Parts: sequence; structure tokens; C-alpha cells
Amino acid sequence: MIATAPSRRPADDLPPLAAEVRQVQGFIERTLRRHRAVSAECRLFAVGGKLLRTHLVFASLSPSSPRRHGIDAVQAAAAVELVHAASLLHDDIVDRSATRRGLPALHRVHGHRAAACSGMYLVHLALTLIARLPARVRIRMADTAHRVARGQFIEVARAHDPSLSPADRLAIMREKTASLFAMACELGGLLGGDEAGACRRKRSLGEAFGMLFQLADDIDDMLAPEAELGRAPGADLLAGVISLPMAFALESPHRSALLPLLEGTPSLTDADRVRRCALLLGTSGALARTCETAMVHLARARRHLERVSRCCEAAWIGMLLDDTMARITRRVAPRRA
Amino acid sequence: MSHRYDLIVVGAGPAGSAAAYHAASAGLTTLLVDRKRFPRGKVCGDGLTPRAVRALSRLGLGPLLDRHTRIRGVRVVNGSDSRVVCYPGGSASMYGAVVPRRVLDDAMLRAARGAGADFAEETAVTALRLEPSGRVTGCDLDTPQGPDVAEARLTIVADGATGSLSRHLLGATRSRARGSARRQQSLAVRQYWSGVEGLAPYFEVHVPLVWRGRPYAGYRWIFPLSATEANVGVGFLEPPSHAECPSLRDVLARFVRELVDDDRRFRRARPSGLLEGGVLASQMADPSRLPPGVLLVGDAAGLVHPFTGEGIGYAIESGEIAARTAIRCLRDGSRPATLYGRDLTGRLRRQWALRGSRRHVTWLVAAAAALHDGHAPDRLIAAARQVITDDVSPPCGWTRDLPVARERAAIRRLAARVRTRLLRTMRRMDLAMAELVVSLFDAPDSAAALPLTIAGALAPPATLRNPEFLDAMLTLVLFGLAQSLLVEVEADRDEPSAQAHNAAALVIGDCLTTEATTVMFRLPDPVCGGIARASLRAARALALCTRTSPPPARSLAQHYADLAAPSACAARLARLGQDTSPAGVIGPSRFARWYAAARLALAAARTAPGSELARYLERLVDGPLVDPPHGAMLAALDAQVRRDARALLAASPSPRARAARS
Repeated sequence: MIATAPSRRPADDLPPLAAEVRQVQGFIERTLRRHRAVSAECRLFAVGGKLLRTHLVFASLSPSSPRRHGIDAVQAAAAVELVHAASLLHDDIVDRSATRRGLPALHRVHGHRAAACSGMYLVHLALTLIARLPARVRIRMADTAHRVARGQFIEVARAHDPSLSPADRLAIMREKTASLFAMACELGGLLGGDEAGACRRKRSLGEAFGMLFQLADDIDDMLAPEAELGRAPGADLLAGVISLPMAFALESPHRSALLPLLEGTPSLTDADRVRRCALLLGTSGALARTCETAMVHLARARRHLERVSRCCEAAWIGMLLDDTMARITRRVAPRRA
Repeated sequence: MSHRYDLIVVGAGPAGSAAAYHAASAGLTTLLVDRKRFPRGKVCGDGLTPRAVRALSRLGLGPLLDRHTRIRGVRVVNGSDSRVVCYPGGSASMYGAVVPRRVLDDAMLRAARGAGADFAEETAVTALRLEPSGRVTGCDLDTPQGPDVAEARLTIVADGATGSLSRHLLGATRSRARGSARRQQSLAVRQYWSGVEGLAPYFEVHVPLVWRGRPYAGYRWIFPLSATEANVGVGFLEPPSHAECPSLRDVLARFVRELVDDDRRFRRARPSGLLEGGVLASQMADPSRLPPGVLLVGDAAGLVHPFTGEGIGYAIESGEIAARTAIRCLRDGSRPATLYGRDLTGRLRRQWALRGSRRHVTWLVAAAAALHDGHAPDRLIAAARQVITDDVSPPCGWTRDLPVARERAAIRRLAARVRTRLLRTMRRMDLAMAELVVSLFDAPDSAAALPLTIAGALAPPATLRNPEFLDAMLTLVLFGLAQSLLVEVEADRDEPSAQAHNAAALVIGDCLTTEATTVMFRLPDPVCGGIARASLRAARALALCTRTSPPPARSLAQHYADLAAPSACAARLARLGQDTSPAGVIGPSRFARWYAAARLALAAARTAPGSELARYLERLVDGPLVDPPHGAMLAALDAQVRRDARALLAASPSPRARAARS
């Protein structure tokens, strides 16, 4: 019953790296099938995403690198993907999300405990893969994992906190999302044997891209229609997470109107809260400011991309950057007009 | 007329009966002598700690204990506040009991006679018979039928705290500088009460013991004999000097008056017996200084715990040790006093270390008092808690106690070091959960701390101080803690409290995993890979056993072997760079896997007994030794887990398991 593939947007099918990504997908699937520790649903879930981070690892690997098809790169990418899948599994339990990747969330199918333990297993599987990598690579990955966990913890700790400033939110995003993107891009450099400067640039590129990506997600969460999102919009709002647009709006004169919506009032349904918030985001100018921030990160990403264009799939990454920026402008533009 | 025996035991209290039982069971001809007529009562708190309960079950007295309430722990009361310290492991295997001495001593005597010991009732020992060399060869008896003589190759004196024989023997060894025997004794009075309402199954200890505004080392107790009967008493562990000595009867009388006035449980209670007083001896005698051919056991040897005043358990254990010494010495002619002394010191090491340092007693009382008000420093509370539950740590191997004690200390030190690192890590994470995580680590039967037991027993001292090794241990512990948190996630419940619980378990668990990862990836390749693989096996076992979709068929053996992988990994790490021969590494790691599997299965069987689990556990503990154990410590761990498991299985209510066993 779960055999149907998750819904995909056309721009997510990215031909140049199809072979490598399929290799990673196959590797994860085979390993999970062999160990038989998790259910078939969990197995499909683990490879059912867009595998964006896998794409990034291979896109930032130098096209001429002999390591391109080596087991190192496949395993590293698989590890990143597994850690990501596990964090989604655990997030869904914490956030009480009902669906993920267009399917019922795993904890709805198997119960919370089974989902939690499956997530843990995926993490440990990733760790054994990473343990085989050279020491300096795995130390960088460990530090990344540390930053991600820290970001997530601060996000939970400061949920429902209207005093969260845009700068605070940006710091959380940098830890929680951007650090993993940065790692994925840097991995390409490290595994491909790039020199230190190029690795650093790839890292910065990844970080800027991660920020951009998180902004697009934040905006989609509030503004995208339910059909496109695969779930009800406003999950962040309902979980008390203050996204960047919200942090901007809280600095605007509309703060007093927003506060009761953040807290939630018994007279309002959840859907109403989300709708009113979305309206306020538009009128307060928060969306425009978010869009400007996104432009800054886009420019930064492009600058770094230019410098490393010879040792990565620059065209493809550029396309991905544009695609993400388009996701933001598509939501914001009609409201401006 | 003269009788010849292998062994004469003077005094049929717990120590004497235990010695006679074990000696007679081993085939020694044994004579047990007591000047009283049985059954007879004795002044005592009647409290049997888990240690005493275990010793009694070795005498086959399990059925007697089953007829009495199982005591789950100690309740420390100070005024209107109280705190309960439970014995670890639930009531299935570690519990105390309250059995009146009249009943207990009679049952033990019957056990000894059942094992084949002769018993001379109402017979006093008037003198020990000595060879010119000073060796004891028997004793003169005063029987109801007239004087008599009994000769024996070895004499065990178990005549209690006030016995004239032991006083005579010790008079030769105790110098006057260390004080008279009178001053080294503790005092106690007790009275039985009936018609008490709502007694909980705890040893209730009231502290501090204050008289005329001055605190004294000691406590008042209420030990429940049943739901409505209690043994109420007062004990001075350190008798005050003569000038200011309060009358114990006055102290007890006031305690009882307070209870009747203020304690709702005693509203309708009435005393059911006289108020009686007695003496406890807690100045451990040095057995190596006795004349040859004689051993002292129980109160006669001053084996009452200087902190708790408990003596029955130690009495029974010393009886066992004396019997074993007798068996061995009569077989191979070695010197009993030396052997017995060594075994006794090994077994009762803690008390031995404390003998003579009376200040500790006062200190314990202060600590126990602190236990309940929550304002005392952690260390003090931990110390009091340790004293109360110390008894619980199962005794280790018989004759190898001394090296074992050293290794046991190594395990404790390793755990303390890793605990320090754990605390530091938690603090660095700056999360308000350090206490929670550390309490998980400290919990008895903590699966996460299991690898440390193994590694501590195996690693040489240099390794135990190696920071890299400690990091590896910390990693294993952190992974273990994270896993034990995630298994705690509520499976199906959806209400807000369960949600909050789940979210906390997940966030903290993930943080711990991450923290472990940062430490682990900095370790050298083989260590890092080994830890990762071992933790993956444990994670896999947990993922499989929590799966709700049909999991692939797996035996319990596979399940526990996977869960034990981190312990096996710890064993390998402990031996790393030491003895690289296959026997040096594989042996310990196989043993570690067996040991951890048994411990984990044991813990699981305690919380959720099942016939399949019981059968698996039986297979584990009834099987042969896994690989030649690496030193005395592993043998002790081995013996300990087997003993615990057998005790659990014996108490198991599952008829199928019983049928499978027989």
C-alpha cells in the first residue's frame, strides 16, 4: 500500500546526478533490507525524499575526481541522508506531524516507540558508515551533528518566545539547517581531495544555500496551499516555532495583533490562526524583508560558487539555487502585487 | 564418657546454626550445643536485610521467608518528613524480612539438625579443653544428665555478645588500651506491638536520636512483622559515657508515647509483650589472634555492622565461612585461623575497615538524617544511601575475596571517572537535564553502565587512567543512555503528558547520541569503528524488539547477544594493547557478552517475567563457564549473576518455568 512513490515536483528531478543518487539510494535500501531491523515503510521513507543532501555531496565533488564513484562518497552521502531521515522521524514525533513526504508519518503507522527506535537505528547505521571515513572527515561530520542538535535544542527551548529577534532566528537556522548543507558541500571537497581553500569555500557555499533553503521552507510552511505541501500549512506556527518572517513581523507595528495568534485563543481554529498570520506577514512587510534576506544569501552563495566553479557541478548547483529562490518569490510576489 | 566430633559449635543462634548446617551438610560430624531450651526468644530488631535473606535462602529457609512480608527498603523518618530508599531490583530478588528471633532461630536449628548435626539442648559449656601447646581440643559440658566431655578437631564459638567463652577468648587478645568489652558494645531495647494500622513494608528508622537536647549515634525503629504487628525499639550504636547515659527504657517509653499520641497508625495499638533490652557487639575481633583450634562467629566475634546495628546476616555469613574453613582445614590440615581470618576480612571488608572508628557512626546518623530534608550536600546523601543499600551488593567468591575486592574497587573507580566525564559533558551541553541523565547512569541494573563493570574488571591500572580509554567508555555509556531513553518513549498514548514525555526523551536522547558521536569520531580508527559497530548492534536489537510490524523471527539469544555487544566491545578495549593473543582478547569479550546478556535478561525478567525469558535465563546460568574466566573478578561476576538468576528463578511464579527446571 505504500508502494506509490512520494509526489515530486518536476524541478526536483535532476538528471545530471541521477546515476550517483540511484547508487546511494540502492546502497541504503540494500543495507536496510539486509539488516532487517526496520519495517518496509521505514525503508521506503529513508530513501523516499528528494535526497537533496546526496545531490549536494555529489554536485560539490569535482567532476574529474576519481573518487566520484568510489564507495567512500556513496557511503558518506548515505550517512548524511540517514541522519537526515532519522531527524525527520524524531521531529515528527515531537511536532506531532501526521504526514511526511506525502505519506502518513511513520509514528502514525507503527507507534511512537517503534518510530523513535527506528530513527535511532538509522543514526547508528550512519555512524558505522562515517566511522570508516578518514579521521578528519568524520570529526567535521561529528561537529556538524553537534551543531544540528544544538540548533534543534535552542529552537525547542525558545519556542513560543515572542522576544526572539531575527538575528536569533538566523543563528538557529545557521546551526540547525545550514550546517548540514555546509557539511554536504564540504564533504564533496574533502572526499574529492580538494585543497583547504576550496573546501572552505564549498562549505560557505553550502551554508548560504542552507539558509536560503530554510527561508523557502519557512515561507512555504505559511503560504503554500495544502495540496502542494502534502500536509496542513502552519506546522511551525502551531508548534510555537518562530520562523524568520514571523520574527520580522514581531518587530513591526503589527506585533500586538500577532501575539494572540502565536499564543492561540480558544475562539480560533488552527486553520484560522494560520490564515490570519499569513495575512499579517504580508501586510507587515515581513515577507519582503525575508525576501531581501534570501537575496543576500543567494548572492553570497553565487559568489562562492563562482570561485569553485571548476571543481564542482557549478551549473547544476546554480540551477538549484535559482529554483529555491523562485520558490520564495513565487509566494511573495503575488502578495506584493 | 567422651564423644569425638569433627566440629563442635557452641551456641545455636543464627551464626552457630548456620555453621553447623553447612558443616553437617558437607559430611562433618558436628555437635551443636546451647544452654537454652528451644524455641526461645531474643532481643533483636528482628530485621533481616537482603544480605541476611540471601544467606538464609542458602540454608534452604526460603519457605519460611515466604510466610513473612517482603520488606522493600528503608524509610528514614525525621519528625514529619520521611524518605524511602528502596532496595534496588524490585521486590522479586532483593528484599528484606522481619522474622521474630523465636521463630527464626528455631527454624535455623531445625535446618542444622535436618542436615545431620547432633544437638545438645540445655547444655552449658563450662570450659574449653586445651592442649599444653594452647590448642583447643574440645570442651567440658554441663548437661541436664550431668557433666560430660566432647572432643573435636575444631571448635566454633558462637555464644553471642554476652557469651563468657568468647569474652574469655577475646580477653586474651584485646588490650586494655582499646577499651573494655563493655564499652565496645551497643545497647538496644525493643517491644512488640499489635493492632497497628497501615504498616508499609519498609524498615522504618527514626533519626536523629536526641535525649535532653543532645544527639546520639543510634536510631529508633519500627519494623513491621505483619500488617498489624511491629517490633518497636531503640538502639544506641555508640553508648554514651556513664555520667550522661540516658536510660534506654526512658528513651523507648518516650518514643512509644509519641507514636501513640501523634502517629495515626498507633491509635489503637497495644504492646503485646514486655519491654526487653539487649547488647550488640560491633567491635570486630581479630580472628588470627585466637588460640589454634577455635573460631569465633557472629556476635561473639563482634560482627554487628557499626552503622546499622544489623547482625543476623553477618552472623550467618560468618557461620558459613567458618564451616567452609573447617571443611577445608580438616581435609588438608591448613591453619584455620589464618584462612578464616582472610575470608572473613574479605567478605566483611567494609565493617573491618570501620572497626574502632566510632566517629563514623555519628556521621552516619547525621547523613541519614540529612537524607530526607534535601538540603544536605549530595555526597552526604549518597553516603547514607550507600550504607542503607550497601548490604545489597551481593557477596563475591569464597576464597578469592581479597583480589576481588581490589578489582571491585577498580570498577568503582572507573565508574566514578566516567561519571565525572559524563557530568562535565552534560554541563557543557548547558541543558537542564544533567541530574536526570546522571541518575539514569546511577540507577542499579543500569544497562548503560554495564560495559564499565566488564572493563573495570579487565583493564590493567594504566589503561584505567588512559584518557582515550575513558573517552571510549564515555561514548559507550552515552550511547547506552540515549538508547535507554528512546526505549522509554510511550508507544501509543497521545495525551499531552505522554507527548511531553516523548518529546523530552527524544530531544535528550538525540543530544546524548550527538555528544557521544563527537567524542567517538575523535578516537583512533579501530576503536571508533568497534564502538560504532557494537552500538549499532544494540540499536538494531532495540529497533527489532520495538517493531510493531511483524519482525523477522529471532531468538532471545540473538536479541541479548546484540544488546550485550557494547559490553563485549568494552572488554576488547580493556584488553587492547595488553594481551593480543586470541585467548587474551576473545576470551574476555565472549565472557563479557555472556555476562551482559545474563544481567540484561535478569533485569528484564525482574520487570516482566515470562516463561520464555525464564527458560533462556536458565540456559544461560546453568550452562558451563564461558571461556576460562580471566582472573578472580570475572569468576566472581560469573558466580554473582548465576546466583541472582537462580534466586529469581526460584521465586518465579511461572509454573511452566518451574516445570522446565525440574
